[in-house]
Amino acid sequence: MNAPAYNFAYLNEQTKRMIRRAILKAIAVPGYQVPFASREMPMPYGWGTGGVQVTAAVLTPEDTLKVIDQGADDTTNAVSIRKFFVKTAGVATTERTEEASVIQTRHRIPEARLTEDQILVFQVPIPEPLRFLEPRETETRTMHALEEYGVMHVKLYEDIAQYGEIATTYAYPAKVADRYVFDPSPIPKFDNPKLDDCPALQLFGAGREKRIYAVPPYTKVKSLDFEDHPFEVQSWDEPCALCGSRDSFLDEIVMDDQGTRMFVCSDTDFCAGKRGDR
Amino acid sequence: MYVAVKGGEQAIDAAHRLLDEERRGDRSVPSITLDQIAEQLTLAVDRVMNEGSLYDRELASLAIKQARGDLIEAIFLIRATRTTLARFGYAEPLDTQSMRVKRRVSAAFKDIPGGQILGPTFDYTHRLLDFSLAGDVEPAEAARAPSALRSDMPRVLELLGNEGLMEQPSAEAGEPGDLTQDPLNFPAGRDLRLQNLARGDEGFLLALAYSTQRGYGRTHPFAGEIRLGTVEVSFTPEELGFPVVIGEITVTECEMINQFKGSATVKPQFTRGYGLGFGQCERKVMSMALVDRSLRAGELGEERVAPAQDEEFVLSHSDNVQATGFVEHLKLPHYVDFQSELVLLRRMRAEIDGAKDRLEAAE
Amino acid sequence: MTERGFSDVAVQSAHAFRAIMQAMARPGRVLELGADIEAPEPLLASTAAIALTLCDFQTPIWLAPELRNDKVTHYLRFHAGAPIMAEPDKAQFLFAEAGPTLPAPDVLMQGTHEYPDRSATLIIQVEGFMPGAVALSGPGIRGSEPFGVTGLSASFWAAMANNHADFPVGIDVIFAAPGRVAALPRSTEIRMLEPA
Repeated sequence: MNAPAYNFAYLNEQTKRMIRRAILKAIAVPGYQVPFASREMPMPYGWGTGGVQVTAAVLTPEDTLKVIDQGADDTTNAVSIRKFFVKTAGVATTERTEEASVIQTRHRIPEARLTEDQILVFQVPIPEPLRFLEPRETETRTMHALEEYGVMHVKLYEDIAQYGEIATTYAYPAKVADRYVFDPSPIPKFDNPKLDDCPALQLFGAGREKRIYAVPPYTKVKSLDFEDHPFEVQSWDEPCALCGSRDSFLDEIVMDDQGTRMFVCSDTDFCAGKRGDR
Repeated sequence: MYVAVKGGEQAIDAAHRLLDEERRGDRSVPSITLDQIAEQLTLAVDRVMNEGSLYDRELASLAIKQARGDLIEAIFLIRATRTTLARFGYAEPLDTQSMRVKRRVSAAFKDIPGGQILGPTFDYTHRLLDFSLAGDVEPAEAARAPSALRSDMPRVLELLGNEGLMEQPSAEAGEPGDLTQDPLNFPAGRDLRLQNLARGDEGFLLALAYSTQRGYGRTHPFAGEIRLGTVEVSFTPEELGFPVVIGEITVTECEMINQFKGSATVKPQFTRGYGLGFGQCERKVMSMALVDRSLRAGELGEERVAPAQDEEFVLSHSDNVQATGFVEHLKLPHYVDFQSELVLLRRMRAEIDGAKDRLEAAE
Repeated sequence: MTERGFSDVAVQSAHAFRAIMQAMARPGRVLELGADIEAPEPLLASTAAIALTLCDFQTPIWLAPELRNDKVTHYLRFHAGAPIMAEPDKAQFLFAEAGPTLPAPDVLMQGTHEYPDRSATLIIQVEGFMPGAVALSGPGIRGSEPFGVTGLSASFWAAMANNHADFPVGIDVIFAAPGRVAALPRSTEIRMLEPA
């Protein structure tokens, strides 16, 4: 028994063509979830197989790849995916946001503003924003077709009635180019404003759910809200304990058994850059 | 002073080396060979081939060894391998009528043309631990039939069909779909439902099938025929234009007979549920046949009220590679989202406390 | 003897796709599409690169009369394995030149409101680009982008404006010029500019 040799970026060419066709339709209909024949990848479903397939289909040998999970390059799953592409595509990698041409991410958008020369690939667990309100695909598909998003507004309004505010803090739904309500993946709502009018192409891959969708550059992405309850992002009372930033998303670190806490940037590259430490 | 933890890569490498060591176990015990797995853990190999959707005993044995006997992990390894294999086309449909039968039973008739053939089965064994297997005592040789079995065992369901009591298999127009090549959309035809069930988790299908027997979408089943044996696989190369036999595989087939009261247009007759799988997998194909029949509720004008009759529910949750991935992904870091929830929860609690304080101050 | 396709399929189709994808993501922007590929007359190398990057046995294609000859059909069957359709409304990818045989967008596969992705992509082989005919705006465009294509008349732009009006159903267009590519997805709003 001999170990097989793999194609550039793992996927065979026919699979790449199938994914590439889906990506083009996703770009042409911003925010609409294109079904695609997702393949079994050598990492588990739910661990980034959609993002990995999209990245594999867009990658060229000249690309410089950055992979983050929770904003950090050194988290276990980010390390694992980065290693996969080093092995199967031989691409250069970086931790610096500005050096990357393709960035695959789980749960965050980098703090640094992205450029036209970059592509951001999101890993998506549940692509359907209406799924938790209506579990049936046949129903949610009709709702998108009819642009019937009343249930979503009702849900958000019930939050306000019950809690005094919208109690969705991540995977916060937004409307793309005034047409499709979409799920921006479980990024904190703190990152939603970065989706809007972004110079970079943003691609979303959901492997287990077999959907690809896109937000083209400079596209309007409006987080759902109400006139009397406008959308707002999280904020912290204190700055990052390491770099002093007041405008980044902060992780809470428990320091000792007494529960002493400190707050530090979730975007590790951004934090290191602020400290001049990279 | 807090310093961000680095070293994920080294930690992963070290964890994988430890996994390799644990897989090997006590080095004074001989390493298990793929032949031993293929020959002696046959039914585990069959299950991995079935749910892995790849008929290759050697690769399945390797996957079982690599997965330390965790069959869902082994199935996952086979599926990931399958992604990388070149595709030449689709084989001709299997002709299970001409199966070289090893086992064949019907619960619907006392005797059937061709005979009831028990074959290698756990049925009727007393489930008492056989301590002789703890040593390496060789079993006695099995008795062989004095003459060869019929090579064209008639199908039990066709015996009923001749009388008009059995529905004819629904002949849906066109080529069957392939959910590994095109995304599954709803509603799905019976072709895609059966493909999904054939790849589906045995435990999930078993539980669903069981639920139909307990009244959640009752179908009044009889095991019309279960047969196990080998069938030829043929393929028609584009340049030849005629089928050539490329090999032989072992399969298990189950045809269930289910009650049907009839409708305005159809006289009362029996209906079918169908199951087919690689290797010997009776529990799997019986479960598959029951669930297949339940999923036909809409087509047969039955009210869809039970989970096993709900196509979207069954097909979306039957795949154990998808299910295990998503359940286990909760092990991945989620601290950014958790932080978002913490911020919200603290603020909501503070607001309630603030309101209470204001109320008390006003009193 | 059939012309060879890409000299290195994995790498060159990756490069070609990047150009096509960026063109689709930035409507009206003209991008370089160079590929080491042989193409049968009258296909441009860029058209051939687009075809072999996107088409295979799963994608029925249609060829306009001026592009349809034995060499081209054999080339596409051999390298892509794509079925070649007689009727344009059965094709997922259509190849045509700017001119009278260009099929009207509204006779091609439009997709449905449930599945707008099940729609045609029209690849138009052109001589070049000359901004000034129209101004484009919408997703992928910062403000507005002047655009124009050699050999395409006002009626084409009017038809594409109607195509946009039906969003989210409709077709998407890729323009292949010598060594260059641009695109016009259905999401793009088209404003006719006064002739100078």
